[in-house]
Amino acid sequence: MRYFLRKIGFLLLTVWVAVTLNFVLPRLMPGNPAQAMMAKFAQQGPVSPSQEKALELMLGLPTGSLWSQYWSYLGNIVHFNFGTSYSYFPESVSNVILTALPWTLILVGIVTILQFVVGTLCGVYAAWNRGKKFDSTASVMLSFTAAFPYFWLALALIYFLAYLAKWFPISGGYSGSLHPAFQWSFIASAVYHSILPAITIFATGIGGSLLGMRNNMINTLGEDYILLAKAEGLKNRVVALRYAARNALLPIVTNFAMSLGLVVGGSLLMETVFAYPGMGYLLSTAVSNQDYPLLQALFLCITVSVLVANFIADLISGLLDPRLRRGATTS
Amino acid sequence: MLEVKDLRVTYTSKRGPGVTAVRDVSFDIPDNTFVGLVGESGCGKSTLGFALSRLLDPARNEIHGSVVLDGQDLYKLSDEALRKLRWSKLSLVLQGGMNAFNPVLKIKNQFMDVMREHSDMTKAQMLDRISELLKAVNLNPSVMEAYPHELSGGMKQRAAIALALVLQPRLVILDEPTTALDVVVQRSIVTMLSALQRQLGFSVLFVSHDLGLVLEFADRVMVMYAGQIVEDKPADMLIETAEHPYTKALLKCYADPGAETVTLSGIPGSPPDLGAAIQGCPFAPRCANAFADCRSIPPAPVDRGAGRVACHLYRAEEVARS
Repeated sequence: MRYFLRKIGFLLLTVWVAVTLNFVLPRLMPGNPAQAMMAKFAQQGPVSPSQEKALELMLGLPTGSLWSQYWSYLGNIVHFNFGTSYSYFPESVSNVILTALPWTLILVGIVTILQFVVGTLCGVYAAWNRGKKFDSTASVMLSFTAAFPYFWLALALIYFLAYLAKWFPISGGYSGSLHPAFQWSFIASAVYHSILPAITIFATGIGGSLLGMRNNMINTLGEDYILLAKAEGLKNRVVALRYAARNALLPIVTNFAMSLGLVVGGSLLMETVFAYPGMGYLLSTAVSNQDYPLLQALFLCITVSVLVANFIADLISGLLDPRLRRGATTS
Repeated sequence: MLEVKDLRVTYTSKRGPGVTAVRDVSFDIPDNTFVGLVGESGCGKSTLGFALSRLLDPARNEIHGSVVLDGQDLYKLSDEALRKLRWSKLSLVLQGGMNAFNPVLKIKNQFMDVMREHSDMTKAQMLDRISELLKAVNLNPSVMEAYPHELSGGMKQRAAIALALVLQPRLVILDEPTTALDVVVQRSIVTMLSALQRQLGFSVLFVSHDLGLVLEFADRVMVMYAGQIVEDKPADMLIETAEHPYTKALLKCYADPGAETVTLSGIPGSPPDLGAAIQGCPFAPRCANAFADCRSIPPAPVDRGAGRVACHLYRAEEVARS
């Protein structure tokens, strides 16, 4: 319990620091978005002061002391009010994010979990049968695919499977003739569009999971308690999973949670290459359009989800490894 | 009960001829006997212990000879038949016991894993058995609720011995069980082990480099040198009439703290390379009594009363000549 409370306290503290940094950083930058827009308009012709005033009002430039700005910023965050997006004007930032989030969460989330589970299980199997056929083929092949630059693999697959063979759509999250709705035709189209992106993320990620688990597992298999478990005549499955894999998994849980946290940020490369309507695509749009409110909200989402994922990883590690629990209560 | 015949273990290597750590070893262990196996580091004693329990990786070892436990040759059994026999007939205690327990499972769960595998006990019966055994090794039964990292080295080693006895095996092999512990704890654990052995009537193969400790507790002592058993005798007989020059030299390394004058001496030289073939007696280069035959003919074990010695000094003609 104390372990849990400590971890919660640490989570709250880090979230507060992240939120505050998110407030401070844009204010340290020179200029403001209205001036930036003015500069763009000014290239097309003179801008009158009243126009500038109107733009500032529309964008909602901050007024008042820094302190009162900070408080209203905190209040807005609690209400998920991040202002208006410049690039998707007049949509609110929270709406824009809510539209993109499911795409990323479903596709990248599912593939990340799947890739981890399959990779880890294969790693256990490869380590248990070290040097045998599966191990020597899978480990070598997957260290090869894991070394592929992601965008290169994605572009190659698009070229061969989508452009030449026309088995898959080239880009997008769903067919342009449809509108997002809970209908079979739409869901089928979304699944169809997600196959190629899913394959690319899976193929580039699984090597890391497999090799990481395989190496940890091989180390664990050298431990005395594995030898003893074998001497005890326990079934191979019990020795491999309950004695070896469970211990080999411990260092990997944290990595996995980190990558789950980063899912919220979307897979920037994947979504750019496939023009997939998720968070990563949103992020690159926001950057290229200097969409500060959107950027700020996206950063906040990513930071908070990584922190929460870390928190969950700590809790799971605590459950899996009694030594951590004890370390927390005695210190 | 256990009969080992011409056991030979070679660690194979891709780069060379391999290391033959156990060289044609034969011996018996009868029921209800405490047998000590002593020798210096690298003489093959641990390898012998693991070979007896068929725990060496067949992919990296070449093993010849037979290990017969209660009429069954362990090297002829199928993997599954061997797995069923493990722990209920033959159990193991590892060096130091430090990492013998899975760090993420409570002690009682590790006991229960074995019992569930090899018996039909109910959970209540298992818990009873665990607390009974923990008491037998002088631990508080509440230790079963602890995780391994919550126990001291000595407690872990006691728990490891309790674990080895959980299914009432015929033979317990202990590989340097007390090496990582201080002498006081070491002694109390071996005293307890020896009492349990007499009380419960199992046999013990106690692998150690500590001849003094083994002589005190063992019924019989086997002295190993360069992969071979050079002398195998009842303990009291070994103290009085050690015959192999290596055993004699080993005994000179110990002193009786009660004696008026103490002379200690080491053994000059170092053991031979087990990666190469050995001509004649492996101890010949370090032996003060060596003669021509020692360097060319490997000595065969000779019966000497209740024991056996592998030394040319005790061949029939040598004994007759003297």
